[in-house]
Amino acid sequence: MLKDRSKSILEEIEKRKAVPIPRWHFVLQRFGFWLLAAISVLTGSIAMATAIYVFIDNDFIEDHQYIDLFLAERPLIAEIVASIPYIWLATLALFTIVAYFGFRHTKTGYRYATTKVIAGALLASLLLSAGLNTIDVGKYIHRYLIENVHVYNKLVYANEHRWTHAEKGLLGGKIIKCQKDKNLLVIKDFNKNIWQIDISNAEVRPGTHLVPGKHVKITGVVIATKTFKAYTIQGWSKKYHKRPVSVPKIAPVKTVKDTLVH
Amino acid sequence: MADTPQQKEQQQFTDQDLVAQTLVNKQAFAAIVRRYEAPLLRYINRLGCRDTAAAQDLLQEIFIKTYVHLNDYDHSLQFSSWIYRIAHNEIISSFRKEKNGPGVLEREGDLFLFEKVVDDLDLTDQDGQKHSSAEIQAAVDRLDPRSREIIVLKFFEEKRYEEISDILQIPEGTVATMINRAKKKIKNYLEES
Repeated sequence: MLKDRSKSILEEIEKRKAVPIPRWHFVLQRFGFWLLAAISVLTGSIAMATAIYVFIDNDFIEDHQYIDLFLAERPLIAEIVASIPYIWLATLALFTIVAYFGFRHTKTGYRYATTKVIAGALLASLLLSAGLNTIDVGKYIHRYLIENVHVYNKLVYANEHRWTHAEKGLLGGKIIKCQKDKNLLVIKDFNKNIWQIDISNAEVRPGTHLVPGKHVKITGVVIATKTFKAYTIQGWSKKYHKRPVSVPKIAPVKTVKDTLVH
Repeated sequence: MADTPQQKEQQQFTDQDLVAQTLVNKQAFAAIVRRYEAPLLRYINRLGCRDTAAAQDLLQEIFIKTYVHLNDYDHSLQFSSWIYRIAHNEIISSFRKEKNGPGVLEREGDLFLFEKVVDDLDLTDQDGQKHSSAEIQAAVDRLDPRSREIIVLKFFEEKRYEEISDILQIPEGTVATMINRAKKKIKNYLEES
């Protein structure tokens, strides 16, 4: 009976012309799942890098004097909750799940608990995002999307929105032209409007470079259509907000001997 | 039926040797079939495949799938875990195709195993008397397919946690949790009855 079964199975294999699937097929399949997991972690880290940038870029963390108007309208906690970049966190969550799926289908991926795999993927994304933000990846992605993808503006409540309220004295954008001799700055705001900025009485914060291509935050007042009188100008990036610490020079103490020589 | 000298010789080979030989000469696959035919058929029956012809067809499909996927066998695993994994997947997919859940557990050949479950779970009734194997069988039959399979693998197939983890492709911790959960369910069913 046993002999018959092994024989019949071999005959069935012969009949179906079944052959073992080549090893490279399985190697490629496993590589595919590893690649899926790796790409998902990387994409998740880009999402996290952008989320961190968008959140940290918000001016409620510092520079309170510029958003007093907003805080009067809405409490700080509501402002913070509104500023959480949920779309990026959702993207991170989605790719973490995809990374889990990919890892789960690797050779021994099933041996690890779901919570550990998800925590590992999130930790890897967090570490990678910290690395990516050292080269401003989050900033470039966010800025590209805010300037080029209309829908993105509606999905994220970013600092750019706070600085798109010229009527409240807050105007931000990219410098198009700078004519210091004419006390004129031309900027394009985040709604793609072109503004003429009178900088004759503006206080330019230390470290602010007024050159085309740079983004700036300007406080002031609208004086005519698409014309703005600036009170203060500072670079967009918080890196440049900190004033250099000036160490007072210590005058050398004159000794009796020095006095005698002179 | 007496084994031929060739079959006797093949019995000395490990599963890994037979896999390697089959990849060179498919006739060597017969030894794998002979080695796993009986345990896999028992496994199919224990998971609740009631129809004998269907069980035989399922067994054939399991062996053909094993042969076709031989290159996917990972030598760091026990071959038995790997072939049981294929069997598990085929059985589940067959239940799904037929939209047919598992039937009652085979009892005749497994009587002593039900007694083993009674001993292992330390199942006693209110009077301190051990529950009968018939009562245990009724309780196991009431389990959901997943819990039932884990009980079958642990107590009937006598697989270790690591092997169950490899067969069902779940972490060992989950295996332990599922076994405990299934034990509690069995105890609850017994108390209800």
